[in-house]
Amino acid sequence: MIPFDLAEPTSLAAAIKLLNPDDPTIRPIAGGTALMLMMKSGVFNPEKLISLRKIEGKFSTIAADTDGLRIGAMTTLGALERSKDVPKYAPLITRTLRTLSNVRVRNVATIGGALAHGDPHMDLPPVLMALGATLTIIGPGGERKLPVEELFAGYYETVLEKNELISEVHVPAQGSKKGAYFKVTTGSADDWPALGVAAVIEGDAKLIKSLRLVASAATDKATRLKSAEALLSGKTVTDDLLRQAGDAAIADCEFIADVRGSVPYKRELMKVYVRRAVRGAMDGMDGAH
Amino acid sequence: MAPTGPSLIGRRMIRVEDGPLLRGRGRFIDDLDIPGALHVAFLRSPVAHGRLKDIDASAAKALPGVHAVLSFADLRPVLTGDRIPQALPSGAIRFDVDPIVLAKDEVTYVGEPVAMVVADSRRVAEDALALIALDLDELPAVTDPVAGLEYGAPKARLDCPDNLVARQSIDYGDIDGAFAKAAHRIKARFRLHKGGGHSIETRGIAVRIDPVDDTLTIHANTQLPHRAKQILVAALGIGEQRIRVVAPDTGGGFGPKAAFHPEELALPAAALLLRRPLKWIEDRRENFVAAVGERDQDWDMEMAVDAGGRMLGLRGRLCHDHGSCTPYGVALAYNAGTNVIGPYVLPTYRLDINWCLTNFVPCAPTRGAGRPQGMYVMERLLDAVAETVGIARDEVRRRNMIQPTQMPYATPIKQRDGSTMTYDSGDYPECQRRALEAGGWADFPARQAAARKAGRYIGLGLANYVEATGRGPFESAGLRVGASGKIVITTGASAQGQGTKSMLVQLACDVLGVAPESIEVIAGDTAGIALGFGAFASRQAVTAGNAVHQAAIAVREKAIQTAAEMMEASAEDLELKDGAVQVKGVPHMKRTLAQIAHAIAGVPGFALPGGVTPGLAASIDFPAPALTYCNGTHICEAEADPETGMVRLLRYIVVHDSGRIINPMIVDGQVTGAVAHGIGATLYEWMRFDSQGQPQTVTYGDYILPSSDTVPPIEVIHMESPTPLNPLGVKGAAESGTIAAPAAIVSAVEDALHSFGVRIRNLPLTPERLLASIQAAG
Repeated sequence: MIPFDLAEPTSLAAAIKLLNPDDPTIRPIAGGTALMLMMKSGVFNPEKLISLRKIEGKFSTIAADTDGLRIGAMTTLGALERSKDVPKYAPLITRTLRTLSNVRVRNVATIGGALAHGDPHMDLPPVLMALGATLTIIGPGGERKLPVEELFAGYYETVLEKNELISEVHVPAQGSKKGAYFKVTTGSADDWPALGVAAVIEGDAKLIKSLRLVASAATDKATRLKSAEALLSGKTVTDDLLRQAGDAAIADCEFIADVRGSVPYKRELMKVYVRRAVRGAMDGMDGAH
Repeated sequence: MAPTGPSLIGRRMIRVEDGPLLRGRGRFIDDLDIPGALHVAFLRSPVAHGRLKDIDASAAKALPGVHAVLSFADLRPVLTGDRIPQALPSGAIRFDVDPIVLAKDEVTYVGEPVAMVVADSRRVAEDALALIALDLDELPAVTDPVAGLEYGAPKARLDCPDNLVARQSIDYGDIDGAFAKAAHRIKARFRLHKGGGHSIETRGIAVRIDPVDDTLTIHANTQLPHRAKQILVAALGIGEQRIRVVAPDTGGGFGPKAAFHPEELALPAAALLLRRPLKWIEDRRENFVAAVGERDQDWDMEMAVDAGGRMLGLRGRLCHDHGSCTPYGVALAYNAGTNVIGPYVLPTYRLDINWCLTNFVPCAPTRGAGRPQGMYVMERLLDAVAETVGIARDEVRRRNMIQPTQMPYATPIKQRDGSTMTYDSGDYPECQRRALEAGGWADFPARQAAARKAGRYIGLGLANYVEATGRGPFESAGLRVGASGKIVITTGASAQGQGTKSMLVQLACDVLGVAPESIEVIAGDTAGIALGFGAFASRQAVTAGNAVHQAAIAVREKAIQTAAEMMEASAEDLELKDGAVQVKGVPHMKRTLAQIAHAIAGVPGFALPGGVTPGLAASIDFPAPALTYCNGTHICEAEADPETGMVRLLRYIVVHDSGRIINPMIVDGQVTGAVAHGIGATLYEWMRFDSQGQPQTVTYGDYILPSSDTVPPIEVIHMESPTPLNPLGVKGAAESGTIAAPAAIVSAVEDALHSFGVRIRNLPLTPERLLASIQAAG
């Protein structure tokens, strides 16, 4: 790993001032679990890292009210996993975190970093998108709100400017909605997923009033499966309908091939797991693999 | 004289290695503090095949902290030849493609060392690598061992006329007659991949040059220190007395550390040139691209059987991916070919083995050494025979099995040295019977049907194996009792975590009646003992174990004889107990081993007691003229998801017979670890390359090892059929667990998906491949 400068500003505003939209060698670092691997393998060689570890403590807190959860971007995934509020307002997040990477990573990685990294294999983006979460983003010109759904621009790409930072994630209360996240690994459970499917459904035992379905990992970015959603909304669920939804989901996605599966194989997985995720959500199961 | 007290052989004694290792007091290569050492980084070929025209290192040499940038031309003056002298003779080898220390004018695989940077730190050395400019003309690469042997294929090496580097055949019996009278013929083609060694500790070398003694000490985590020394003596052209190779604590071997790699010559040669101590620790990416391992074999086979499913003959051809040079002879594919027969009677057999040069890192054995592939071919074909003939999978095996009354069973197969492959002992039908019983074979169809009703697809698989263990020609051991009473065992055996030292200590304690703490084992140090081999071919309990056992007996006899002289007693009235020779039944009348050792260390001017020879010590080179064959049966229960091709292992049972067991705890560990390796090779591990020969899986994120969630609990049941071939009756155990695992797992998956008619041939069995098989069958 090549040497780099490290700045440790004590406020978010100061951190933003240190970032330069025109200089790609300067880069913010939160937990650093992904960034350090990229730097060690020589994939990414920044000259200056702006650490966010010492910014104001409020960015590491979780607030809950009837509106849902307000999660500071520097909240570690471990803190999120252990929070007593999260399972009350968004139990799907707590369940998802149990299968996300491992305890060592979760204790260091942050929710803001997991989103800003833009890696399509991450577990939280599809879950947060399915829950309808929004972000607060702060830049030199002030703050803006953005649905998580609109954050990802492509493979490891986001719409964030180089001098913008995520400050908070707002997750609406799950309420009576049922959710499931299916993490599909083709190797061991510790493997990166070949596919992730999140489903959040409003309805009863048979009928879907409305739903959000999101796929990741098999795709270039976390992707809403809108054609499948359209097929299922307002319908009584049958095996045949779920098969149609699985087929429809394929049209919504830009698949990527890797050592975990070819594009045709990932298409097959998508068909199967759209069905299993919807069934799983309705039955109140995670279906984590 | 029989040992006093109950025998320690067969006891679950705590390993002597564990205390220091668990307390973080192990001393691995990177723990060795070599004063003044400079650090080495290797520039490696970025392409699979190319002509190397020029290396411009001027900018790298100018970087502060860099002491030297060395290429082949720089090292050649201190070497006796262009190639590394491997000295593994075989008439089957058509072209001499011994490896080279650094690429000379051609690169033949991605990761091949091309130049080395010597710098104050590894960081500076790696920075300097980026400043070296290589002028390379890329050439077409051979990336498939079948295509590489076809007419018009590109050449993997410009100095060879074609890619067929070696050719062997196994041929006995009237094969044409067997096929002519066959009731059924079964054809199958197998593409079998096996991955690397993946020891947790990567390779590492530290070289100390002593200007006072004019010696070179090489600390390397090699499995074969004596062989490494032999190669270094030949390659550097300096005397045996000036070179010492010593292996410190080593974090796993599994085969690749038995091969002599170019870096093992590059560092000592550079140390001689620069007159400085040097250190190199392989990083994980280097381990993926530059450490030898196994890769692909393509088997095209046909079996002939009679109407009852008895084998009449087997014929076919095996194309073996050899890589671009020969660091470890041509044993791997031959092992695979000869091991096909396993515990079965195969009346006729013809196999042509073609070794293809490819533009990959050289192939050399990993745990199992070709046998998992050979056994897989046999066991898959037997499952197919059962299906074709309409009999059960256990029955087809029973009908073909070698019976215990046939032991010793001389197979019709010739080994590499021309001798007959002879199974010494074992009861194969009983072994299978115990495994079927433990695995609930008879009740399984009912369980399977019940699971099917619940929407689950479970299956039970079965596979047998035989493994040649204890390869000779010999192993050395010295055992000496010092005047302090401390016992030192020196041996050519080497230890990478198998518990080798514990095994030797247990054997010595058994004979000498001393506490384990009083024994120190020096293994893997060429200064400790002049000759030796080390760890390969599941051999050390057989060879070094018997050597230590015999040395301990010799020391015991000498101690009693000497004590008899000292105490003016008759040797028949004495016994060795608790570290002292005592008069039987009169414990206070004794001489301790320390006193005896002191007495026969000698005093100037005085004769030794009773004319005994000096020193309470013995040296034994235990010859192992014939291999001893362990065997076993694996039963695996698996569940498959026909919609996704995903497989989960539910249960795993091993009945294992490695003769008399010295320490069951160590054997349990060996078998369990070896099964885990087999699970990895079957379902997860796949070293992938693209069509240009670029590695695609060089991190453990992309190359999946078996882990706690994918390895089910493994039940190990021991059978003990002592071999008549050595005094202890022991056989090797280290690799056997890997051998049957692929066949047992795949048999279970086929059974789970029997209703789909799935036929699985290729390894590894990824979910994607299984789903394709299901769709093809459907």
